[in-house]
Amino acid sequence: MNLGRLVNNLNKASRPENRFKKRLWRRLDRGFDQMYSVRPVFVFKKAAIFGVVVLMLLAVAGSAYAYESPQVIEGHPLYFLKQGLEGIEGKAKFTPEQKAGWHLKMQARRVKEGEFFANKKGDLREQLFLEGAAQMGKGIEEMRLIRSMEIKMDMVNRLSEAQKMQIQIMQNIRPKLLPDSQQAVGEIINEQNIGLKQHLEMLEQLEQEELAPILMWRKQLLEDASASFMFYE
Amino acid sequence: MNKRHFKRFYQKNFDKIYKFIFFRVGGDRDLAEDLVSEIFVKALDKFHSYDPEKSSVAWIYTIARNHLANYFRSKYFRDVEPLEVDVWWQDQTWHMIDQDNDKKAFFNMLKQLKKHEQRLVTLKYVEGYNYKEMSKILAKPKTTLRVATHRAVLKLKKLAQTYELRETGEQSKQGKPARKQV
Repeated sequence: MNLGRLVNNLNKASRPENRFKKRLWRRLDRGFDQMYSVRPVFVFKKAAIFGVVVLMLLAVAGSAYAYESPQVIEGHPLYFLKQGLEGIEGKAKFTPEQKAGWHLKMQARRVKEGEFFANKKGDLREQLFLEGAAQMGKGIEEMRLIRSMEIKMDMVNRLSEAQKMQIQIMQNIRPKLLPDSQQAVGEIINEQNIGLKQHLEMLEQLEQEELAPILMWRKQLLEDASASFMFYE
Repeated sequence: MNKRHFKRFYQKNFDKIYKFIFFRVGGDRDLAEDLVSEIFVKALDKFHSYDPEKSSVAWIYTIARNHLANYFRSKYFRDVEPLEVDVWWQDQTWHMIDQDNDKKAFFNMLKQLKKHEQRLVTLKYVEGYNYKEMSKILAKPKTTLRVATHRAVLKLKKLAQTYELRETGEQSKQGKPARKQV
C-alpha cells in the first residue's frame, strides 16, 4: 500500500465539480449584489466626486494660467477668465490707496502683455499700451483722493517708477515696430514723459508740504527761543 | 464591502471546504454540494462583519464546522460538539470505500490514530491546508504542528506496513501472489 498515491487518489476523487463551483459563485454573486446594493451607488458617488475634483483642479489651473500669463489677451479662449478675475480683484478694493495700487498693477500687466506681443500682433500692441496708460490715469485720479501725506508720497513714488518702466519698455520695443506703430508708440511715450515730469514735481511739492510743519515748528522754536532770550536780556 | 475581496475569499477556500464536508458526509456529492452552498451563503451573509486582518481560512472553517455540527444534530437527534465533527468519518455511507479496499483500509488506519492526529493528517493531506493555515485554524505554532503531523504520518506508515503484512499473509494462505510492499 503506497500511502502517498492513496492520498493523491483520495484528493482526486474528492475534487468538487467545476460546474458546481461556477454555479455556486453565480448564486453568491447575485446574492452579493442584492445584499450590498449600496455598492454601485457608492462607486458612482466616488466617480462623481473624482470628476468634480478633476474639474475643479482644471478650473483652478486654467484660471491661474489665464490670470498670470501675458499671452492671454483679447481673442484668447481663456481671456474671459482673466477679465473676470481682474474685475473681481478690482471690485474688492475699497480705499483710494487700494484702488490706486490696483490700477498701477493693471498698468504693469498691460505693458508686459504689449511687450510680449511686440513682434506678433501689431494692432493689439498699441491698444495694450494705451490701456496701460489709461490705467495709470485712473490710478492718478484715485491717488488724489488719498488724505495721508505719507501714503500719497509712497504712491507717487510707485507711480513714477511704473511710468519709468513703461517708457523704458516702449523705447526698447519701438525700433522693432512698423513706421505707423512707431509713431503711435512715440506719442504715448511723449504723453507718459509729460506725466512723469508732472508726477516728479508733485512728489517734490509733497515732500516740501511734509517738511512744512517741521520747518514751521523749528521756526516757532527759534522764535520762542529768541523771545525768551530777549526776555532774560 | 468589496465583491473582489469576496471572490478572492471564495476561490481560496472553496476546494478545502468542499473536501472537509465531502469526507465527513461519506462521499455523498449531492449532500456535500448542498451543505457547501449553505455554508458559503452563510459566509456571504456575515461577510460584512468579517475582519480582513484575521485569517479567512480559520473564519470559514469555523462556519463550516458549526454548520456541519448543526446538520448532524438535526439528522441524528443528539448533541454534536463542533470539534467532534473534525474526526467524523461515516464508514457506512462511504461510497468510495465500498468500491476500493485500500481507501477503506486507509480510513480504518486513520481511526486507529489519536483524534488530534487524525485531524492533523486530514487537514494537511486530505483537505490540503498548509501549516500556516493549520496554525490559524488550530491556534497552535507552525513548528509544533509540523512535528506532530510528521509523527502522525510515521504512525500511519507503520500501520500501513502492518496492514500490508497481514494482507500478504492472508493472500499466501489462499495461494494468491503477494502485493507490492509500501
